[in-house]
Formats: sequence, structure tokens, C-alpha cells
Amino acid sequence: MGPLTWTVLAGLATAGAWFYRNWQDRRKEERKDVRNSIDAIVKLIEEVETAADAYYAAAADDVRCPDLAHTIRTKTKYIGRKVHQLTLHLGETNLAGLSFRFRQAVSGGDFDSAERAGRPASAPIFSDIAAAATRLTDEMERAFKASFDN
Amino acid sequence: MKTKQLNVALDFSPEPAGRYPEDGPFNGQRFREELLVPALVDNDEVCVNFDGTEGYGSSFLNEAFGGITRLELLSEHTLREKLRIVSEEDPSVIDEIWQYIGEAAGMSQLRRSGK
Repeated sequence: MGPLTWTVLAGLATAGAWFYRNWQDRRKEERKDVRNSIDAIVKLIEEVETAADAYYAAAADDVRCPDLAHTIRTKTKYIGRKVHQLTLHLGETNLAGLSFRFRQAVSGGDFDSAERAGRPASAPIFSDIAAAATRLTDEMERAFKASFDN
Repeated sequence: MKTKQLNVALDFSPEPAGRYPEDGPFNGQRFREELLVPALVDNDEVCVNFDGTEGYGSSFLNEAFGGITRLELLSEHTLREKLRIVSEEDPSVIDEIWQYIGEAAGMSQLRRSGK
């Protein structure tokens, strides 16, 4: 091979290394952003779960209920939005379905009903809410690992 | 083709909540009866925009949309043809609504067949 060929090959190798390094840096940044998003969503899920537990333990005429219901509605909306943004960065996931199942768990049934009675701690709704929260959180962690830790 | 745009926040309330009238003034039943079904009956296409509200309880969504097929006011097929849902702020609302419509349609079908 002549000197020109060596020069071309060296140039291609340098360009390849630059692109790979650049891709790695962007991937690291993306990983950090996605991790931060997941942590923020997990915090929101915990806040909604806490609000929902207090909401369903109280009767409909409890003075705290309007604020708790408002928190549940606004934060589940924000969870839905953030989860949707997350799906754009992750591979195939079931996050969209689990996100609305979480909303169903916290705001389905007699949510916002004027007839609603306070529930005892053993009522199934509390374990249903915890299960829906866990499934959503677990799926985010699974998808994160599958996308960034392989 | 006659198209109607419905914006929940502007045409109904930025704080929709509850299933039935006794649950509050901006409940799912009222949205269905006063806005949604008349719009679907009178138009070829109805585009419902969900953005701009404080958020939705599933109870509201289920009553407003699942109620249409549960009460057999319109079929799921008709809704698939006519109803367009926009929710950029929380796209999960779209899947949730179609799930309620489908579930309620399935239950109605079971009821009709006497099972």
C-alpha cells in the first residue's frame, strides 16, 4: 500500500474513533437523563400512592379529600406525560399500559364519588394501588437495564 | 365531511371530575350527555382535545366514554370511525379511553347474548 492509502486509512480510523466516542458520550448523557426521569417518576408515583392511601381511607365528606383528589389528578397526568417521554428513549416496553393502569388503580371505581365511604386498611384497593405502582416502577427499571446496561 | 372540535378544558371545564351529577357539576355523565354524544350524532367526525385540564380521574373517563357503549348509545365501530382523541400532555389517556369503550362494548354484547 502506498502512502496515500495509509493516509486515507488513518483518516478513516480517526473519523471512526471520533464518531464512536461521540456516540458513547451522547449515550452516557442520554442514560443520565433517563435515569433522572425515572427517579422523578418514581417520586411522583410515591406521592400519588401516599395521597391515594389517605384519600381512600377518608370518607367523601372529609375536608382533605378535594386537595387529595386534585393531587392525584394532576400528578397522574404528569406521570403519564413523563412516562410517554421515557418511552421515546427506551426499547419495547409496556410502560404506556402500566401508566394508565396505575391511574385506573388510584382514580377508577368510586374516585370523586359523593357517596364514597372511608375504607379500612385491609380493603383490597390499597394493595391494588401498591401493586400497580410496583408494576410501573419495575417495568421502568427493567426497560432501563435492557436499554442501557447491556 | 362535518367535523366538530371539542376541547374539554374550554368547552366543559378545566377541572372535570366524578362520574355522576351528584359527584360535582363537571362530571363524566354530563360531559357525555350534553357534549359528546350530541356531537357524535350530529357530525361525521368529532375530535376531542384533552389538553389544558388539571388531569383526569379514570372514573370521569370511564363514565364519559365507556358509558357510550355500556348504554349502547353508539357502537364501538361507530366510535372508531368518528371519534378522534388528542392528548399531547398525557398520551396514556388515549389508550385508556379506548380500553373503556372496548370493555363496555364487550360487556354489552355479553348482556345481549344473555351470558
